[in-house]
Amino acid sequence: METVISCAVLLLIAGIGVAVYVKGQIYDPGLFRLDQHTLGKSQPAVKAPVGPQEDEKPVTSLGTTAPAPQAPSTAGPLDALAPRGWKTMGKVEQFTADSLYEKIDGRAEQYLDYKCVRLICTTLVNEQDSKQFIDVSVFDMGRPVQAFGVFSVERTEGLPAFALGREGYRSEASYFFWKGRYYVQIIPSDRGAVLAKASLDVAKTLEKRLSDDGDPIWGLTALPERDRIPGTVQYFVVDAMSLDFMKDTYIALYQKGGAKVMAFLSRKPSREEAAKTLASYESYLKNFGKVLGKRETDDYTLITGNMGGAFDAVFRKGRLIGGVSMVNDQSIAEKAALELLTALHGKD
Amino acid sequence: MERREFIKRVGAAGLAITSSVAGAAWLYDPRSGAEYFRNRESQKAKTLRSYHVDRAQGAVDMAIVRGKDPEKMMRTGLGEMGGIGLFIQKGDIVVIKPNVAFDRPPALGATTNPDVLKAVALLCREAGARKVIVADNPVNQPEGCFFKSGIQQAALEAGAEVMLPRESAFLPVKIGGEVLKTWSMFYRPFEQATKVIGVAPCKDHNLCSASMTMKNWYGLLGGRRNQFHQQIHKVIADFPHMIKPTFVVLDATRILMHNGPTGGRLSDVSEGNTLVIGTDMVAVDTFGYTLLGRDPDKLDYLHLAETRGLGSTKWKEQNWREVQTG
Repeated sequence: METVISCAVLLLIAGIGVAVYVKGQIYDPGLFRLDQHTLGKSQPAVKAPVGPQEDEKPVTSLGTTAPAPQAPSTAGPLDALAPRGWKTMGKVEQFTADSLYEKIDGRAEQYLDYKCVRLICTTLVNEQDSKQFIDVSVFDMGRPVQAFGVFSVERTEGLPAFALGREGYRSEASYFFWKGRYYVQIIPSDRGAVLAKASLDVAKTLEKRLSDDGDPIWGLTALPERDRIPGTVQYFVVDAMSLDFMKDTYIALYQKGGAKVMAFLSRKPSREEAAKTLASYESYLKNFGKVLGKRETDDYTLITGNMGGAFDAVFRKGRLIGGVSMVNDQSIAEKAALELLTALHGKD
Repeated sequence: MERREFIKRVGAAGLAITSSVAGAAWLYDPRSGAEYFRNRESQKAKTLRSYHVDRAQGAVDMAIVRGKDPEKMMRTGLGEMGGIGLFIQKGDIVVIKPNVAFDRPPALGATTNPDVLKAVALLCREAGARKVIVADNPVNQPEGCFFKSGIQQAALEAGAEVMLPRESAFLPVKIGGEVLKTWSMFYRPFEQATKVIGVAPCKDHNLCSASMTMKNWYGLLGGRRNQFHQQIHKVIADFPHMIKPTFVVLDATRILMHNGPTGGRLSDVSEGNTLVIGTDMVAVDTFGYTLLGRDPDKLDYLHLAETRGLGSTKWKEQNWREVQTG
């Protein structure tokens, strides 16, 4: 009996020694850790990795199509999207906020600023010519204002508007639009009539499939439409005009006589917040330029500054912070700021 | 129990206990698990050799070539620098590292122009390279990126091999930078390489302002490399520590002016019609930044690298040429 117990103890010690050695070779704090959550519950089977299992040798022959992407996903609005003569290449990919960088790398930071929830994307390829393909990406931004925001900051000035979703534009054969909480990119491999037609078909089909709760965008209605240059409104969640204190700010371009004027507008959660922002703006004007004047009334405060030959005029009215920036002429800047102020009556 | 037996057993027990304590003391390591493994990885880490080629004093360090035919431009540019034969010799195994980060078509300027890559590979083959390997570790699925960017086809037409990243191809590499000390890198292509050429597009980047020849090497990193986005300028300045290429090519045939690094609009791409070939990445990128219409004085990673003695922003004080091809 003593011998049996002794042998058991020795085997146990040897086993502990082996375990210590194994753990020492592998950096995994979870090795041998008991996961309490697995006790008493059934767990879904671990999904096997999808996609082709590639061998190790270098590619020496020309491939004709790209193989399937990494993860299976719910196709949703991208299901059966390919127009006649086109087919889906591989599977629909899906990325969450955590994995978004796996698709768009450093650009993910911008989308995360706008609270991107999910990206689903796919590629459609021309059955007659595999070199022609169309990338389709649908970003679920969570809320219409966020979809509008990321749409607006990526939009290049001067591109023709296109009637898709709530707002859209075309760049050669590419289409971009936002509708409800969704921001959509349809990007073909090149220019050309075939790609342009297919891209447009895809855009129209997709647009019909996406829902829109109709939530209005405050800045689009608050910024006056008179003299506003179409397609120039942008919404910045952070760093509007590269100023770190300007958050949740709308910017638009206006044609004032012969001059283009950049106006901005932000609605803060409280008057105190608005006052703080104005104080920051004033410090910025003092530190990097010169404050030319400050007008305070019961209704508003207006500060004008000279930023090395370009003029800013910024005001606070209730919870609103607004104004114009980098205007060549002081009188135009002040006039434009006051016009904006007047137009905002009742919008704070 | 007899006394002798008792002493024997106590002695044996005492010996066992003492040996255990001594063994434990000998094995004890005060470092945390992460620190231990980081140190162990560092000891196992490879170091990339220098692929720099010494040339005669007075040799041209940078050639700015304007034109529309990438092959002609490469020949002309390298000709100004002494000819491809000065850099690539018979029997060399050359690794060309383009930017194939995204599954984007070439027209969008987010990846290296396949015509430029093809020109570089052809010239290496002409110079007698035994093997030309084209390699990158894309952000998106590798097969899709190499296909859609046109790089796969261009490489194969030029007689080069495409090496796709596989898990076993990554090894820890000593970088010796400020942020990157040792990190997993797509090492397999470099195992036998005798020369290395970087071919990078000139493009806007929303995090670091511009992605050019220094940033190009980011594409070799493995693991969760996105964690470095918050220190991106310092990391980019670490790359000249990691690799001393034979030369680099800044592909500004098309320039992605906005919405980088992924692009998406042809309207964001301007026809740059320029190649910049050089042996000093800092100098090449300093000039390259001006092609984006921006002031190099404001690009942090250039100055960080210069401060560390890894290159010079004062490219005009170097030996450089600007040429126009037909």
